[in-house]
Amino acid sequence: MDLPQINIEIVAVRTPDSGGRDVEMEDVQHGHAKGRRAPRNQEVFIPGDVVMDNAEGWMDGHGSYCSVLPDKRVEMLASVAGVRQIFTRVVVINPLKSRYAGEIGDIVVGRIVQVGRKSWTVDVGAQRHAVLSLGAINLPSGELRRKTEEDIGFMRGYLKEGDLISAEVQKQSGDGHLLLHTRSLRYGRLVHGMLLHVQPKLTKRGKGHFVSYETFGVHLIIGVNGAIWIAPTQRQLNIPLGLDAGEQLRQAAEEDYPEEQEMYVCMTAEEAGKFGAKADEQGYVVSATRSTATPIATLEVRKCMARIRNCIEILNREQVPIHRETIRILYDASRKYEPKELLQPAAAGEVFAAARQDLWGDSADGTVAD
Amino acid sequence: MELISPLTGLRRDGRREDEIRDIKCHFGVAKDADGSVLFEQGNTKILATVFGPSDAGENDDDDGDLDLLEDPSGLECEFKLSAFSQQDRRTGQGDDPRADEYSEYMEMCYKVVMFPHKNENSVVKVTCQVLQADGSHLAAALTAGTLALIDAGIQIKDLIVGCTTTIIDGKALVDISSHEELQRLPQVTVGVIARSGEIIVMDMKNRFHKDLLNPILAASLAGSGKIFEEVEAIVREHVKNSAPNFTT
Repeated sequence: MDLPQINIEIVAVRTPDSGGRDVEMEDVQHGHAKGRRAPRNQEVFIPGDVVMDNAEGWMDGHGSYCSVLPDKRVEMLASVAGVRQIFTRVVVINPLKSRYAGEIGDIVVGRIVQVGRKSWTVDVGAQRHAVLSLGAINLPSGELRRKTEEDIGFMRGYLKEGDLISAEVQKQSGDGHLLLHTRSLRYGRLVHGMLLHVQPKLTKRGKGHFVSYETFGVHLIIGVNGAIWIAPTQRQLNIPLGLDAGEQLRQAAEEDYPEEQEMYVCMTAEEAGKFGAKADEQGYVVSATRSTATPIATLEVRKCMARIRNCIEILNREQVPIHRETIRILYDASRKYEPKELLQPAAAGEVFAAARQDLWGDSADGTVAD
Repeated sequence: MELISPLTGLRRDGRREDEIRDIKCHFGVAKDADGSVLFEQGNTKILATVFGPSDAGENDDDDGDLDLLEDPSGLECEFKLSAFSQQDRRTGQGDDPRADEYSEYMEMCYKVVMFPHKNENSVVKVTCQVLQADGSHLAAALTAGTLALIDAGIQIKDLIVGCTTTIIDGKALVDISSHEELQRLPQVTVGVIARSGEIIVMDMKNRFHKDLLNPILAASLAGSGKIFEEVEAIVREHVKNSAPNFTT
C-alpha cells in the first residue's frame, strides 16, 4: 500500500462521518503531512456512547460500564474515548492514552519518593505509588539473611529520596499498590545514565526490556511504565549493577585514578567550575575531588546515548512501539545527522520518513511486526 | 449599540440568536500533563490540563476527620483567569472569589460523571486556564475540562458541556461574547450532562424576572446540545485520526 492511496482513503472515510460539518482543508492536509494510515474498520467510541444495547451475558471491561434501563434491559456504554476490542465475552474500550497499570512481572524504572520505616515509596507513574519493602531487596553485600533493625536504620544509605531504581513488580496489594522487588542482580539503583519518559502504551510487555547494544556500548532498560533508562554498558564503565553500585564505583575510582587526579564527567564548563575542577582540552573531563569521582564513558558512547535518546523521542512522538528493533531501525536511519540535530522537527521528520518502510515492513494493517 | 441589529436580526458578530461560536480543539498540547486540550470557542481560549490519577499520598491534613468522611472522589479542580486574558490587565493581587466559585462548579460537574471507586486513594487534578477571555468562561471551562479528562483517558460516564445564555426583548442569545456579557442583562450558565440534558450546575448573574427563567433555560439547553454536537464530532475525529497507529 503506498502513501497517496492511503491519503485518498482518509478523505473518503472522513467525509461521510463528519456529517454536516465541513471537512476542513487543514485537516486533510494534516493527514497528508503525517501520511497517516487509513483506519482499519475500527469502531470509535467516546464516553457515553452505547457499545451494546443489550449487554445480557457480556462483561464490561476497562473503558466500558453497564447501566440498567427502566425496562430492566442492560445497556453497555463507553466511558473512555477509544477503540473497541472484544475478548470472548468481555468488552474493552482502549483509550488513546492512559496511565501505566501494573501487572505482575513488569519491569519498571521508578524514582524513590519517600523512605519509610520498612519500605521505600517509589513513583512509577502509575495511579498509586509503588512500594519496595526492605525485605524485597538484595543487601549490597550480597548476603542473604533476615533484615535486622540495623538495616532499617541504614535504609537511607541503600536508597534515598530521588534515587532511580529498576525493579520488577512482585504483586499487587489489595488496595491497589504495586509491590516491587529488586532481588536480582539485574535490578537496583541506576547511576550514570539518563532517564526518558515515553507513553506507557508504547513499551509493551515482552522479553526484551534489558537491551544491550554492545557495538555502541549502550545499555537500555525499557520500563513497562514508560520510563526508559539509557546508560553506558557495564563493559564500558565497569558499572556494577545492584544497590551498592555507588559504593563499588567509588572504590573502582580510587583504584583507577590517583587521588589528586580523579576523573569526573561534566557537561559544561560552568558545571566544572562549580566543583572547583578544571576542564581538559575536550572540555569534558575534569579533575575533581574523590566524592564526586566517577569513571567516564568515552565521547563516542555518550554521543550514542544521545542519539538513542533522540531516536526514542521520535518513536514516542510518532507513536511507534519502542523496543530493540524499532530503536535500531531509527538509529540506522539517523546516522547522517548529529545526535543534537535530531531534536529539530525537520530532521526528525526526515529520519522517520526514511525509517517508515523498515518500521512497518510490508504489513498492510499498519501494525509493527514484533 | 444594540445587541441585535434591527435590520438583519443578526448579533454583532454576525451570529443568529441561537447560534454558537466556532469550536476548535488541539489535544495533547501540554506534554507533561496526562491530558490536555487547547479549547477555543470563538475568541475565548482555554488551556485545560489534567494530571493524574496519581497517588494522593497520606491523609495528613490533620483536621481530625476520619478517612471515611473525607471526600472520596479524589478530584481537584481549578479555574484560573489569566491576568493578560482581558482587555485591561488585571492587576489586583490576591484571591479571586469568582475563580474559586467556578472551581467549585467544575468539581460538582465532574464528580457526577466520574467513577469515584475506580480512583480510590488517588487524585485527579483538572486545571482550566483562561488564556483569552471573550465571554462564557465558565461554560467553556466546563466543556474544556471534560475534553482534557477524555484526553487523559480517565473514565467518565458522559460528557459535561456548558452554555451561557442571556435574554433581550424576549430573544434568547446563546453562547454570549464578552460584549454581550457586559450589558447587565439576565445571564444563566448551565453545566449539563450532554446526553441526558440533566443540569448539574446553574449560575445566574444579574436580577431578572422569574418568567424569563424558562425561555432562558430552554435556550441554554438547546445551546449546550449544539456545543455537544460540535465537541462530539471533534473528539470522534481525534480518536479516529490517532487510532490507526494504535497497537493493541
